[in-house]
Amino acid sequence: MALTFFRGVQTRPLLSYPSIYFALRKHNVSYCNMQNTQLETTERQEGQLKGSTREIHSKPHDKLLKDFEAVIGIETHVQLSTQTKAFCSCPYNYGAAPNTSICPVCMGLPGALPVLNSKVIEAAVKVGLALNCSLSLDSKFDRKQYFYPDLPKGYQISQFDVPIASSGSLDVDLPVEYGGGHRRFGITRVHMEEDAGKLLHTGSGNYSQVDLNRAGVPLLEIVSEPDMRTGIEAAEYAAEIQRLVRYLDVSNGNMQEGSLRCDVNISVRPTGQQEFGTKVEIKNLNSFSSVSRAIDYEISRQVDLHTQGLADQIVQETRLWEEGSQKTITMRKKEGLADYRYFPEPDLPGVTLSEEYINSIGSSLPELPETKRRRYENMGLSMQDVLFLANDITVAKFFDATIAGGADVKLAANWIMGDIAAYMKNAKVSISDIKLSSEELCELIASIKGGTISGKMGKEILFELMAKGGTVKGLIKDKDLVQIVDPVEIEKIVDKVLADNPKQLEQYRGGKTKLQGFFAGQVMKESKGKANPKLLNQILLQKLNATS
Amino acid sequence: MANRALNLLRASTTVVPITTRRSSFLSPNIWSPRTVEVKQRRSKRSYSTSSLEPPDVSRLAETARISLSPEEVEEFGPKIRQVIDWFGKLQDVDLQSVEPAIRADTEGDNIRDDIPETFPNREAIIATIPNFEDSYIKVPKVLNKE
Amino acid sequence: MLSSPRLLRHHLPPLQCCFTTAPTQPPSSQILTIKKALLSGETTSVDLTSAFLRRLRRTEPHLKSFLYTPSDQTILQQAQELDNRIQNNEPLGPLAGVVVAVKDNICTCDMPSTAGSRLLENYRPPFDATAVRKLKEKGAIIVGKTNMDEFGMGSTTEGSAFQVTANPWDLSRVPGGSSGGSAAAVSARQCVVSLGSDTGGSVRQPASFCGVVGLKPTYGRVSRYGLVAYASSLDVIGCFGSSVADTGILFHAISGHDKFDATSSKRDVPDPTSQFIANDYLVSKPLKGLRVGVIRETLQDGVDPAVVSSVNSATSHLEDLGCVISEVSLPSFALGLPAYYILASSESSSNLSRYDGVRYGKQLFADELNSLYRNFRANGFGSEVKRRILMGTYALSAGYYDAYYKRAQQVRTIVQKSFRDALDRNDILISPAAPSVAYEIGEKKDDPLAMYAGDIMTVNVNLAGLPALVLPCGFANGGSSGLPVGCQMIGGAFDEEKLLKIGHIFEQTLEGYNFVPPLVADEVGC
Repeated sequence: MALTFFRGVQTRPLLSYPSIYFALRKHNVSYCNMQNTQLETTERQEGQLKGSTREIHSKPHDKLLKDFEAVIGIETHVQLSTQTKAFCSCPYNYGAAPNTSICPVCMGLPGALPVLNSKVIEAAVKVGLALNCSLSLDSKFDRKQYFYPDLPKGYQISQFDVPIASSGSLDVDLPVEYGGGHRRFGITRVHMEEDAGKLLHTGSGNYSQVDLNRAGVPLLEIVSEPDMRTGIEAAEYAAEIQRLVRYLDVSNGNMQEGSLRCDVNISVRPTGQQEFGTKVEIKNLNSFSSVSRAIDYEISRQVDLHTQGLADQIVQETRLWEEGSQKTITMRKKEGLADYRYFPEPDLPGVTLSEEYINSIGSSLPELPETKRRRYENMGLSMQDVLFLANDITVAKFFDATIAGGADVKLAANWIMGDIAAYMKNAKVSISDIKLSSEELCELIASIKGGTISGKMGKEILFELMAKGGTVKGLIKDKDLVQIVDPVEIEKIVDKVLADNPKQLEQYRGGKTKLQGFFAGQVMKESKGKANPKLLNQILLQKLNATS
Repeated sequence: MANRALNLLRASTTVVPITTRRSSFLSPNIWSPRTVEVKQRRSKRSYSTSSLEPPDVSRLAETARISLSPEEVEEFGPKIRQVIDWFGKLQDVDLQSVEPAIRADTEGDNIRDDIPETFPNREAIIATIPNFEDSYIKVPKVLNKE
Repeated sequence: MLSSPRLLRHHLPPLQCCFTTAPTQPPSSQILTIKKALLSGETTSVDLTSAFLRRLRRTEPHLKSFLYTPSDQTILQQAQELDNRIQNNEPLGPLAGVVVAVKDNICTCDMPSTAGSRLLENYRPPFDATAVRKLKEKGAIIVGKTNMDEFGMGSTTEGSAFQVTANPWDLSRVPGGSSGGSAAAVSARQCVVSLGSDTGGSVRQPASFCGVVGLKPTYGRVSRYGLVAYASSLDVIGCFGSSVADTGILFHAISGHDKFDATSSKRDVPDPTSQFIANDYLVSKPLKGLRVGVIRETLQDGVDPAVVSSVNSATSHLEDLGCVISEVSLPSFALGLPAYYILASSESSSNLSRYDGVRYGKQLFADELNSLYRNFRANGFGSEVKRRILMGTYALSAGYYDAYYKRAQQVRTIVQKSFRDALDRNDILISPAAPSVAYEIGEKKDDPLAMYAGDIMTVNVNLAGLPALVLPCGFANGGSSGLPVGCQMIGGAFDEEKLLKIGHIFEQTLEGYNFVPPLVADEVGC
């Protein structure tokens, strides 16, 4: 399996959100890459990726893979973008100076008590509904106990046996490059919990450093059923979760920043076997492509062991994905399951949801990615276009608004995916930042379609509209861009150009028909670009081929 | 006087919980094969502690991250086992249809709005940290990476 | 699941029929007397506070109630500031000029808060507990932090890492625990009122042992924010006073909803002050029709005969006041004790996990993280605390949870129901506060189970989350002038008002007893 490609448009300026993904339209194939923190690393990474995939796979190996089935499940932690932490009123700002956003509660000081942030429940219900889950009308919090320096209280407030949502599903469209197709993956549960702080290991290794800014930040843990079978499926599942939480505006879903974290559980079994194989957990996945690559690697590793008769070497353990060497390595072996000594959190009342509350949240949900994709598909757009447009809710909104104004669907799609996307990439802005409004795009499309201006003109003013704003009508007027469609007008200009260029005319009539382009260019220039190209060429040809 | 109080624990009282079944309490200070026998006869009971390992003080101390001296292990062992045995009194009660209560009823939805408030006395929090350097809380190295 | 507690108001005849005419004499409340004296200029806060400080300093070497007191100068400065406010006719809070002591597990940012543990020696919290904030806002003068069993685990205050507090009635005896220091301080009149905490009886038993009034409010009435947690589902902050009225006024001052405690109740707290009328104005049977249920299981084998006898006389006294006495049986009574200890050990093992040496506590050097944890906790915790943590860890372990913790929770349900049923048929329930009078120092030290047994009278009330008032009702032999015995009155959830009314009338009409210990009797008088 090769690279995983995802489509999308840069959603936020590079400075605030280092992770960007962008679209390039090249030869009718659109693709984009997930990037790490700097643009410069892209090329390096791309090179790496291409190289590594060639290493792993060869024909006989692929054949072996067919005899085995991988069973993959993903645990995703979504960091909520609430203003304050889950159980105290400390604000959370990614990148703030260490230990500046702390209070007795999130520091676990003696006598401090947790109080739940109402927005956390709201986010959990939104996600639960969006994942088609059953919601627990009475859920509770539990304490999950273990000792670690980034866990101030010595326990994490989480939900154990009664999560707020369970038994749902997620619909996913696989990338066109991988054969496309629709999948539905089960969701086991969604629950609320708090994040731990950050533990940094110093170079010298004598001591470690703890930053508790992040301690207490609300998380939603989403656990999937082990329904995925390939790295691509898993990566697309993760991408869809990201898409979903961004659509719902509950998280910025950023893998590089850690606001979206995926841990993969994977086992293999001979195809047809009912029993699951030994499950291995993989951590340290910082991008969707590493999710895919890590799974591919791990499947190979496990299959290899199986075929060599060393299946018992596959043990239940946690492995880390090493980006540098592109493989998974043992982190620690699980000596039995950890005992977290769960018990119900006495400091927090139970979470009770009323039907009214759930209904009000439900009716406030935006159109979800899956529904949007089906709607776009029904409009006649290609799957490629559908996946692109539905990837980012702000882009989709822009698109929807443009066609709501009456613009042609395909044309609108092309403009957005082409020139507009390219501009956004170069200027490093999001669609919300460009000065072009959907109304004006609609107007632009109509103007071109109606023949008021040429397509070329349209592209030019598009740039200005995006950079500076303004209206289509206004720009047409100011720049005197109205297309010349009067044959008489054009004729005049053609006559002039022919008259000004007798030598070339003679050459043309002498046989150099390629000079038509030269004349066309001159006529265009003379007309300040306003001549309707079709008419221009029609009349020009006529005049050129005339004998006098 | 001490014995009188202990008698309270030993007192055989009848319990009439949700069902009308009567049971008597076993003496908390005795753990004998006879006790086990009695429990095994009552096969309809939902749970029995006879299948549970008695407390291993050293292992518990490790889980709870407390170093105990050998003297402490020796001293604590019997005292802890005695109390845990006494906890076993609850095994004799029929609790099958009883819902567990997390606490006394709390009233109302005590949740808060998502409005930031900066804690005014951050310096005082920092002042209590035993090892604070370069804006970080300093801890000894961790042997096992989580 | 559990239905909300029903108020029994409609069963009780209106108490207005207790009064003959409008009261003009001041009620028996030192707090109200102080306020009146300050406002009238009869005394100043500085004079008043100085008197308390003199007595405190005189008695402290014998009692050791306090773990920390600020300098006299610091305390008197607050008194001076109050006097200035009085001079300027500024409005005074309900606790103006009242000298208060605070149990050392309640956070005070201007004084150390050790919870009786070596682990928190010299620890200064960066915030005040809500209850402390309210004390300060209402004009109280905090005279120090009182001694206690470490982290609230104990019933004698001998579990303190620092010192043993003596019972003012007999210095060779314990004041009870875990709020022994707060009880002794009020008993010896080192302060007017004090705050304690009650998880399994830690306010009520010391109140009984020291001959003072102790109130355990309903769970959720007083914010737990700033109370160093022992067992979160059971802990409450409680009040000590030398009279029911003072205890009630203090309770009203510190209670109410707090946004920093998710388990705090939003219910209004009625102001009891107007209820504390002088006994001259009571009709002859002021508690006529009130139904009192005496809990049969608390007066059986195993309870000191002197205690039984004192509680029986208390019951007779209530009958004289017009109460209808009957016996109630709470069959699950004895079950509550092991259930309580399972829940308390389990929750405390979790609540004490945060004491890891990373964010507060004495600096300890270790080359590896787990060594830091192990050594810090080993050096910091006392034996009883260590044992309870280990037992709690055991009870919560995988495979053991159902057998212990869950069962204890189920017993809690049974206990709650049995109290609800009993309080449907009665206005209040009566029992002793402890099966005996104060033990001798050292008597209980080596036998945990024997010590736990002493909590039999009080733990069920914590399991049910109900309010209870303990007031002195008699004496047993011992010490130089007998040892006090307290009677416990248990009320319906959130019905402290009724308890205080009944307790006040009981106290005001009780004759023939002087509950001032000889240690300070000559100063204070009867």
